[in-house]
Amino acid sequence: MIGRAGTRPPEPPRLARALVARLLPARDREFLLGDLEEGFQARAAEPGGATRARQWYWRAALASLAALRRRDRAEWRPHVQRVKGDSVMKNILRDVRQGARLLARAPGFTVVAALTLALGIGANTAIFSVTYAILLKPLPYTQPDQIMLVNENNLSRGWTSFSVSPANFLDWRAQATSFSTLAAYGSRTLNYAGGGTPERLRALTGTAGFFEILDGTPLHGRGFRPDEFEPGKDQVVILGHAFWQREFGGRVDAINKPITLNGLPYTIVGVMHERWRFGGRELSLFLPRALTAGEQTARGAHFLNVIGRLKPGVSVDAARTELVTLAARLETQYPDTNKGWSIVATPLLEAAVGGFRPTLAVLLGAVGLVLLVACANLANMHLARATGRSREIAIRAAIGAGRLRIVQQLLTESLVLACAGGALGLLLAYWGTSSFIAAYPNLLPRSRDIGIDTTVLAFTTGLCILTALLFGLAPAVAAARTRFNETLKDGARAGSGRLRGLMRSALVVTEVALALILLAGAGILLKSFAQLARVDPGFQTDHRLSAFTILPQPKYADPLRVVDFFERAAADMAGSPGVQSVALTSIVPISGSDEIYSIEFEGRPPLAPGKGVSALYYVVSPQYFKFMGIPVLKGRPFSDEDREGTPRVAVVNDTFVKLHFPNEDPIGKRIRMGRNGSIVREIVGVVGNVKHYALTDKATAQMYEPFRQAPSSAMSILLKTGSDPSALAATVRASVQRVDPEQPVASVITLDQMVSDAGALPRVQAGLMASLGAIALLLAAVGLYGVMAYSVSQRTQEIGIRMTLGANRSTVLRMVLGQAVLLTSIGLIIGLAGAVALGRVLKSVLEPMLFEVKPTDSTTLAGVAVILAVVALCAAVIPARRATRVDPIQALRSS
Amino acid sequence: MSFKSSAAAPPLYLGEFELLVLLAILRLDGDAYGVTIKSALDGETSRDVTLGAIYKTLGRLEDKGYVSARLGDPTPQRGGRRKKLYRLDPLGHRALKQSVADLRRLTRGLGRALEAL
Repeated sequence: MIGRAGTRPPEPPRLARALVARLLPARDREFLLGDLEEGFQARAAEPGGATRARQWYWRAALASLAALRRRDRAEWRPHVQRVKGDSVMKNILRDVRQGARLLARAPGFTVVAALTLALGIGANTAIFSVTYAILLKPLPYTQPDQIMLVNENNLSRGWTSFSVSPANFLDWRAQATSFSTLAAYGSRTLNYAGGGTPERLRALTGTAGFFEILDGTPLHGRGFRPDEFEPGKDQVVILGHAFWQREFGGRVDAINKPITLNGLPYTIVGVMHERWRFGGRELSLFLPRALTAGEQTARGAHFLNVIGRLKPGVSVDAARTELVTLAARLETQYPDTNKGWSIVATPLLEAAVGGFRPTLAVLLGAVGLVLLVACANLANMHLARATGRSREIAIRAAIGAGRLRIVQQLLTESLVLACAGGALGLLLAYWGTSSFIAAYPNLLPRSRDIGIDTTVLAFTTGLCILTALLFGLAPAVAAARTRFNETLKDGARAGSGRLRGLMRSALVVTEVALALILLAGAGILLKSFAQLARVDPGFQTDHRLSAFTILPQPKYADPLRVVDFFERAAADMAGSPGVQSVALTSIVPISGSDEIYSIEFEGRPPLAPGKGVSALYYVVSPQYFKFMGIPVLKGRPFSDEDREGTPRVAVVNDTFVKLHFPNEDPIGKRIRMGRNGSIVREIVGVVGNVKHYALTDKATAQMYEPFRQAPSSAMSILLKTGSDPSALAATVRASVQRVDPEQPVASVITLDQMVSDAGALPRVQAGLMASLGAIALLLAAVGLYGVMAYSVSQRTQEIGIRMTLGANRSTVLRMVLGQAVLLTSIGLIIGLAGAVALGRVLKSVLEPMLFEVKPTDSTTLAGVAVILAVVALCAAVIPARRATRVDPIQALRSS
Repeated sequence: MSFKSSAAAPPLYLGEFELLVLLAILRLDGDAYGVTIKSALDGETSRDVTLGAIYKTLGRLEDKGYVSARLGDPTPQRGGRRKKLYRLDPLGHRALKQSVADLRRLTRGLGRALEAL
């Protein structure tokens, strides 16, 4: 910068001269350049005047340009001024081009900034696209708002939503006026052996009107006729599109052909539309659901799902009111079965996805925070950059750009940057969501709806604009407020205003605070997840495999055949290489299925209607407790002697005893329970509690019957091995087919996998939050580093003076680190306060997501504060060490 | 906008800086251009005048028809560039005369009071 006097005559600043030459018409250029040259030479001639002369030249050139420009407005075409007659659009396009050029010229800045934005916008786009697809997008049915799921509930027993008994359903259908259609549906699986290896097909069954409610009209063939919903006439089937393609090669002449399912002849009447879906699973068959005469009068057995379409104009609340009144009427009419039961109706969308609302809301909040941290970082980088660009901005102002114009120009530049980041973010979001869905195909409902569509694009575009304003406005205004004359007079250390320094410090404090809030959220979810992982499910899962098998009716109508099948299959598997032990159970805990029956105690007065007690119910083989590692606390487990013809026995769990025999010995007590509630059983043993639905379950009453005394045609065969249990899947299938070649195995899964699936949501929540927290931590560290590095570079001279005056390196280090510590501490305090406040406000949202952790857990908060403080200090140490290496002589000379 | 019609010709107003610049041109007598006007004002007034301000005012005076400019000779100190030399036009003369007369009238008899300021 500084010309060496003596070697050659000083020259005016070339850029300034070029500006004048370029921007002025010839007749003004001539004399102005002359005047400037003359003034410059006069000043340069003074001793040591070269620098002053250059500074004067700049100042004078810009001021003169400004003056002459205003005079000859019409003859000017400066690049910074909106030219009269140009459209706003043209103006913006010019700014965009210029912004892009400027960004391309600072690749380091641009890449870091765009990546920061890509992370922030990408995370927001991803979570928004998921939230939109799950919670906001209408379901793909006609008038989806009219479709309601209708369930029973029994709040006195703590059941907020329960399956419906057929007799109740028929009464609702006959009496409810709010609905144009009410229908029951269910799912079942059927054996199919037509395709070579026998397989288990998934079917959706519905009563009359069910498929119409959901627009389920066939692509080929016809829907079910009304008479096909009567028992005995219901052996007709509509095929799923994929199954039809696979088994019938997509031939339309498959219609009216027979097909054997569960060993019974069915007639194919249609093929469902390829895109028609209900629930998340791929369905192979659609069947009419005919209620048998026995079912039609069953009021105490709850096993139907009910769906309805509201009449046009009927509100959800009106329908609910009617249903509750209807339930009350049935309650007085049938107190024995209906006491305590009411009806609960939920819009289909709410029922399908309502449970995900808190998770998604928390994640949306978290990505919002990440974006804010990213914006704070960018604003910081912009401020630093604006300092470097103050001369450029002063030139723009000098040659006639108004403040608004400068703000517009700088904002356009921010917008260009935000859009670049947004485009990158969109890619990240697309990649992120699709790989997430690939990794967890069954975790999210409606996952097929998740993607980047116009709504998501609009959201991302809006986000880019908002982001540009957020990070660009403050620096732009700060830059435009600068008095260009002072900037130019200031010379080399241009425009390092105190205001900007303050702004930058405030931004770092904000970043630290936001990062702390995010980290606190992540920490609490991680802790909750860790607690969950420590929960003892009450049974062992390692090296164990479950193979679920359903024997078809009427082939296995005889209970003895059922017993024979499973015992032979189990024996065959037990003899297979690698298998250590085998057991049977009707339901595997944590598998998601359940069976609940009411209990009556012999010798006690019958319970009042609505006061009944019940328990989870399992049918198991004698080896089951030992196999699962469930401890026998009292009495004995089942033995091979507990079979048909011997006294009927039962085993109950610890909680069952605590609830129903608090001060008695349960052994020897007689109860009626289970599928056949008329049989009296004697309790022979007490076993430990097992978590049934989820690891977060509270202890519930559980009861067991021996398989031989209560044979069930749907059983899971359990295998234990010394090595990888999933390798035994083939063994299982081979054994089953040795016993019955037509019999498929419905599903094979390791118990570890089952427990892992059940814990997937908390794990994913914790994982996502931890990643977001890590991003925020990184950004905050980068922000702090930037501010400290800048501050050190600005204070080089001061540090030089201090060191000349005797400050040693550790003093300098302390001085610089002190500033970092101050900023970090303020950020930490604000962040802690924010985290606690947020935890309190969001208590009701967070608590269902958390397991044995409070939203304001103090150890977690302290822990993340320490992590953040350490990372922040590490970020500050690099510039601080640079400060200690300042050479005092060099520092003083360079000023 | 209304103006007084006390004089036959329309009144000619001058701003203070315009007055100073016109006086400087008059003083410089044929050698008035940006740099010399600036040094004249720098030397004789208390102001820190910038070239930009001078050009701005000269432009305005030119527009009003008070001054006119011609290009002078190039000199080596100017990097071979020519000067833009200004001189007062009749209208400028009148305006200056009027302003100075106004000033004189207003300061008449105030000698002691002004000195005491």
